[in-house]
Amino acid sequence: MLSWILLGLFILPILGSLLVFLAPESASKKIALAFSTLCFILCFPLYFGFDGTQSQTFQGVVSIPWIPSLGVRFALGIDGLSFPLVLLTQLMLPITILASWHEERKPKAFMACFLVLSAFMTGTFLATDLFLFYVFWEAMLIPMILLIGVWGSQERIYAAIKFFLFTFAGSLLMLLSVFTLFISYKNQTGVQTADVAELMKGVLSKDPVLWGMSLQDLVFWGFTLAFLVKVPLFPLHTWLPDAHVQAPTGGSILLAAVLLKMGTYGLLRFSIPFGGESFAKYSTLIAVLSLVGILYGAFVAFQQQDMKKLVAYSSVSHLGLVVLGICTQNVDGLTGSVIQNVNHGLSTGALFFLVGFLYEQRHSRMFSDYGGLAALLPRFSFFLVLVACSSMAVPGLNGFVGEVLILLGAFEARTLWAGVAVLGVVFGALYTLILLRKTLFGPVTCSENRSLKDLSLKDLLPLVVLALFMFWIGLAPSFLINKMRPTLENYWKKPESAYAKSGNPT
Amino acid sequence: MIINEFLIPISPVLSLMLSAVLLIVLEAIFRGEKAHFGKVSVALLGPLFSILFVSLVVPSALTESAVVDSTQLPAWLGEFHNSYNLDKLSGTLFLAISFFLLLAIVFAESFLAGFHEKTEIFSLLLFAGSGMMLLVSAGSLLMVFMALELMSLPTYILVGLRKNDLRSSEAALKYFLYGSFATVLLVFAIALLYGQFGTLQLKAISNLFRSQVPTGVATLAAFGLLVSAIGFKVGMAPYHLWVPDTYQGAPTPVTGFMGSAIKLAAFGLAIRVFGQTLLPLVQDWSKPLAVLAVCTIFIGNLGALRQNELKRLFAYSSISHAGYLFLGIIALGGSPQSESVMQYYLWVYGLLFLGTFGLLSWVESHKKSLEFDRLNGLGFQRPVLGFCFLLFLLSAAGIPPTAGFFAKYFILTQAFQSGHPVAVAFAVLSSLIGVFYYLKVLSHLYMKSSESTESILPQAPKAVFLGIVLCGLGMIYFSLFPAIFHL
Repeated sequence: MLSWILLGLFILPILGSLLVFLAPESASKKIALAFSTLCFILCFPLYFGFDGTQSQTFQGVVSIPWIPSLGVRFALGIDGLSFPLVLLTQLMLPITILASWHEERKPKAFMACFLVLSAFMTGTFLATDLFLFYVFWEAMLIPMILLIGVWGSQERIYAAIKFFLFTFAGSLLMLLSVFTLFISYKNQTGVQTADVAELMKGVLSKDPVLWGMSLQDLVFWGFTLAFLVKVPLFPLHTWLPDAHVQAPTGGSILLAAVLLKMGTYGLLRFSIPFGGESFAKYSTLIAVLSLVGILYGAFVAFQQQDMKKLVAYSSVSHLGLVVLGICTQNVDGLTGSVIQNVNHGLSTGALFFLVGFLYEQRHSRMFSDYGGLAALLPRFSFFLVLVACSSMAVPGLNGFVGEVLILLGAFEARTLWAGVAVLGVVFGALYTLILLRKTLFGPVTCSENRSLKDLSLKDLLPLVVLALFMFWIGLAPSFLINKMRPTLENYWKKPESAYAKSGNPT
Repeated sequence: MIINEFLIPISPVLSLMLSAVLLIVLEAIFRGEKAHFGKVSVALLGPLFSILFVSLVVPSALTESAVVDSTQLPAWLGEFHNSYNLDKLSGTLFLAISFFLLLAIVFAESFLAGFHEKTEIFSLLLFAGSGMMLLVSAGSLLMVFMALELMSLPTYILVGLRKNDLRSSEAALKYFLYGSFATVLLVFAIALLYGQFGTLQLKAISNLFRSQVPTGVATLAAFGLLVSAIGFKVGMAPYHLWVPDTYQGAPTPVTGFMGSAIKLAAFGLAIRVFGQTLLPLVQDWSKPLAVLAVCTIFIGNLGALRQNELKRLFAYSSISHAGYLFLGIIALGGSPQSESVMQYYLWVYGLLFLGTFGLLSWVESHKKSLEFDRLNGLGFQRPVLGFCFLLFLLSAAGIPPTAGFFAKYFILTQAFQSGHPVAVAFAVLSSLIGVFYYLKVLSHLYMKSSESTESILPQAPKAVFLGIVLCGLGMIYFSLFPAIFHL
């Protein structure tokens, strides 16, 4: 049952994109919406079918031989780490499509890109075969670069190519790590496999090979750099503001809500288990970078005149916090990170949705063109305030749960980290309030704004769903945490992973 | 007797030659519009029959284990009875050559629309094709030499086919001079090998090598000369200088044919000579050869960065692909799977190159030149062709999940396993440079709109459209079933 759902989540969007291609142009949005909603509905049986008490194995495993001689299989499965992100992906896709409803340029290709992107993203989270993961991880770039490059604003081509080159550079390093893992496993056991759980049983040499780093360190950095570019961690973040600002609304939503999550997911799924001791060795460095990122992102966001840029830099800051939670190496920090991952997807997705709503009508993202919208657009203002509160971690909303847990974890690990991170959270409240003040409050400065339309029913629906989730996680986070508690609690003690053990391979 | 022992084994080659000869005769007798269709059909029948014969004669060509080992030709052929191998390698490559020929003929036909008197292009293509088949199935050095000439001579003419075009003549002259120099090196190498071993049979040489590895200067010199000769043919650095000019100057469908089929044949020869005959030498010299391969990849990718003309861009990209393929040759020393991996790569690369040049020749015949901006807006004006071009570009760049990624991945795995991790690391990193220029083309294809409405590319003729779509479908097939050849 679970396997069929997972397979469905991957195959349905692809079928949908084929159908969009064949159907007349006027129907493409409806088809896309239908298929994405279908995927979302599949999440309900997935939620209830997923057994949250298991932590060691993947559930709903699909495994089909693909390239026998390399041991590569088309293998999907779900566990506590991927579970929340798979749900998030399926939730965001219909919202993205609704947000793109008014796009008139080449709607067919636009919708096909979204569906294909969703299939690849889901595949990335579900793959339990390292090779398959790599294929999906890279394949995702193709629809994304088209989304930015074709439907973006003025500087779209520059932003698209920059986005692609940054992530691709990271991926190439990961490819080298993948090579090393496969071949060292083969040399030790004589068997070729790409199965993630199986590969963890191998041992990597700890003798220095290059610049004082051991093979394991190199493998660790190969993976980690690829994922940190995607997160993005300071100073690898420079592609993000460009991509976010230039991307169409739907692209920004998916980019923020799902694509960035792949970085932190990859850290947890691959970097840390394969890195073992190397992670312990370098975690301070990564934590410091994430602290710098938290403050830097907040300061730069504070300066912005462009709403999308502000949200983009706030992502740098928020995801720095997520990475910090991982670096604490304790259960609280980790739980907070995983929750905050989802939170950021919800709140930033909603922010981009709202900014896109304004941009669609006024074709401007500048604060100077707005002001006093609270009186003109009451429904819009209500949701913007709500989403901003979620982003600022107001108690009762989802952001609070994640940030508190991360700070708690940081406090357990190093008091100083928690101290600096708290500063970042304060600044976060500051720039979010500035966003609210400059758009919603004060006098109406531009007379064009008086003719703005408020949210229609079509726009309300996704926002209400997002708001529900925000309250739900904020008030009763256990419904999500319980599903992954054993995974998270056992995460830092992985007795079966030989990578974590010391000693050299023979 | 003759039929069973001689004609049937060589039937794939024979059908190409026969249709080429028939075309020459037809050319002399029939002229004009009406005969044109007949000539094209005769030209197409050659490779079609060849495909049919390959699938009949070498039924195991595409199945995994059964290898038809070296069909012996009858003894009355004397020195030649050993000079033709019909095994899995030649079966796969025969299929590829015939298929590429079919596509090249289709693309050439529409490119030449209007100059019907130039049907000699078909017989030249077919002769070159039969030369390639003999080359990849060669069992003796004498055959290698003759097949190489049979392949090269028609190609020199094909490159210079547009007699009134300065670039075409320049390309032909350059190709001819470099090519004949390569042939000279090859003959020299053959002479040295004969002097050393007293035989021209590849099998016999390989056996002698297996018993004791001769490290005499003569053998080494012969090895070096062979690397150079084959390096010239495939466009390896430092023998790549002719490639951009020749690829740019040649008529576009001919370039497509050169980049796919000739590269395939030359690498087929490389597998025979290096992989099956001189393997111990390749193992001994694998480090310097790997350096050469990596340099080729970098030179190709760096050279392509500054181009603004599509044919030249793909010429440089083909240089870098030659580097990747050469890594496969080096890996033959350490890993037996490399041979089938190379077949996969050659198929994929040939398809994407031919498909690209089929499309480019259609664009060129309407827009007169091939600067990048000629592609502006094409992706959405002609969605199917645009999508195929997208597939070709992504494949050439090696981005998953396209077939080009699997091809590169397999080759690099083999090279890694046979002990060249550093070369692999450089090769992987240099594909970042490659991605940049392919993305530049992609951005013209999809992200920039054409400035004027009258420059919309008309619908391609059915045959050309079908050819390009076939290449595209082939790419999809190869990416869904990457295990097709070896695994």
